[in-house]
Order: sequence, then structure tokens, then C-alpha cells
Amino acid sequence: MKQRGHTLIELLAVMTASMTLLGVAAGLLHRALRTQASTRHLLELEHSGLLLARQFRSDVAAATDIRITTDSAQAADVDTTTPLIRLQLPVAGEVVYQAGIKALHRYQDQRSSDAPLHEAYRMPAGMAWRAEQAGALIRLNGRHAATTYARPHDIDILAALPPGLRMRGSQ
Amino acid sequence: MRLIHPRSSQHLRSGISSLELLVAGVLISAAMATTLPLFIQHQRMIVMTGRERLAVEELANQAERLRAIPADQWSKMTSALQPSTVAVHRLPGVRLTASQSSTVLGERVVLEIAWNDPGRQDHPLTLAVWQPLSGMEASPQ
Repeated sequence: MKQRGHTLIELLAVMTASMTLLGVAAGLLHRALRTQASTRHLLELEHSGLLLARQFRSDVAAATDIRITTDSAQAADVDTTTPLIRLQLPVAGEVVYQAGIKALHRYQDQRSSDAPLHEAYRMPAGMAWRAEQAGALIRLNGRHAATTYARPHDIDILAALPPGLRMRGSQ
Repeated sequence: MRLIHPRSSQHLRSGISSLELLVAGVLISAAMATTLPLFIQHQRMIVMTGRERLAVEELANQAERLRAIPADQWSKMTSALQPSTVAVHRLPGVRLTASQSSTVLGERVVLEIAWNDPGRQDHPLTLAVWQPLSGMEASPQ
């Protein structure tokens, strides 16, 4: 007798196998897209860190006056209102570094124009920043502990103070 | 004589044969076997990129430490050179060395950092710090 059609078991087996294969393929695609997004974000953070270090050292080297405006009590918190450090530059005017929620901001008071120049260095959310003087060096430190979804991200920038610089403490 | 429609055999066929399923399974397994090592390699590269950024930062910080003291004290500092706590913690097997030399242009210190990532022991990152002789400093632009 010639068999026509399929049994329920055959249909169920084929459907299960097909769903499994489809699930695996969809999972791979999802993971590839998520990996691409996280990689882009991570590389952006690394690049921001290097740019910030270069800019900060350049600002400190050119500064005629530096004022650190945070103290150790504020260091543990993310303070988005108080500037971390103020630098007086001979040409560019006052430069202020200020912690933000997802970035470290640099405001430059351009003497030639009305609007201050603003740069934002993208950082992980909730990064704790502190600035301090360490002998003839000034340190800008950012810490972000590892979470379930994010790797630890530390930034520690040292910059040599120019000779004869006036240094003022926290206010 | 019986006429056979050229597509009559296809009309009888429906569903998926075990062979087709097997082929699909083999293809997806092959794709997975190719992509999974790529994901693993990608994760390693992310970690290595982070370590490289830390190493560059470490070299730059050590260079700033040197810049902060007079050149005649460089030899004392380079002989007692130690990587920072962050570098020790995040860079496995980190090794920081410095070599000082006097040239016609001034004092020169080459900082070198190596750690246990593939190829990094043979090709460490280097950064040179110069203290020009007096009178040879670049004039301000």
C-alpha cells in the first residue's frame, strides 16, 4: 500500500528541527549585531580616553594658573555640577574640566568669541572622577567599576606642572 | 500511451526529507564552527585593545614623571622604575624598563613596556623622553 502524506510524529520532528535551526541562526545574528554595537562603543571610549589625556597634558603644560575645585569628600561621588579643575591659559582663556553623566566635559572660554568652546569626551555612565596634585604632577583620575554588562574602565592621567606655576587648592 | 506531465512528480512531494534536514544542519553547524572562533577572537581583541590603551597611558604617565624632575635626577628615577598599581593589576606580567643615554642633542630616556599578550614580549611599546641641552629648546611658535 502506497503511503500518502505524513504522520503527526514526522511533522512534529521536522518542525522541531526547523525551529531549532532557525533559533540558532537568529541567535547568531543577534549576537553578531550586539557585538558590533558594543565594540563600536568600546573603541569610542578608548579613543576618547587617549584624546582626553593628550588635551589635558597640553592644557596643563600651557597653564599659568591651576585651581583644583574638588576635594577627597567629593571624589567618591559623581558630581555633575562642580568643575573638577580650572586652568588659566594665556591665549585660550579659562579652561574648565567638569564631570558629566556619560562624559567628561571641557569648556574653553574663547576670548575672541562669545560662546565658549565645548568638548565632551565620552565615558562610561557613572564614572567617578577626581583631580589632585601629587608633588610636581597633577593627576586626573576616573574610575568605573565592572558591572554585569560592562568591563572596568580606569583612566589615570598624570601631567607635569610647568615650572613656576601658581597652584591653588580646592574651594 | 500514458502521458506523464513533466511536473507531476513534484506535485506528489511535500514536506522536508531527512537528507535535506541533514544538509541544512551541516551547513548551519559549519557556519557556527566558523563564527564561534571569530566571537572568541573578537573578545580577545577587545581585551588586548584595552590593555594597549592602558600601556600607552602608563608610558605617557611615566614620561610626565620624568619631565617633572631635573634631568640630572633621571638616572636615579629610571633605576627604581616601577609600573603603577593599575598597570600591575590590568596588564598580566607587565615589565617596565628604561634606558638612558646622552646624545649631542641632550639626555634621552627610552621607556619600554611589555606584557603577556601575544607578540608583546617581542615587540614592546616604547616612548622616548628628551631633555634638550640648554640653549637647544624649541622656540615658541
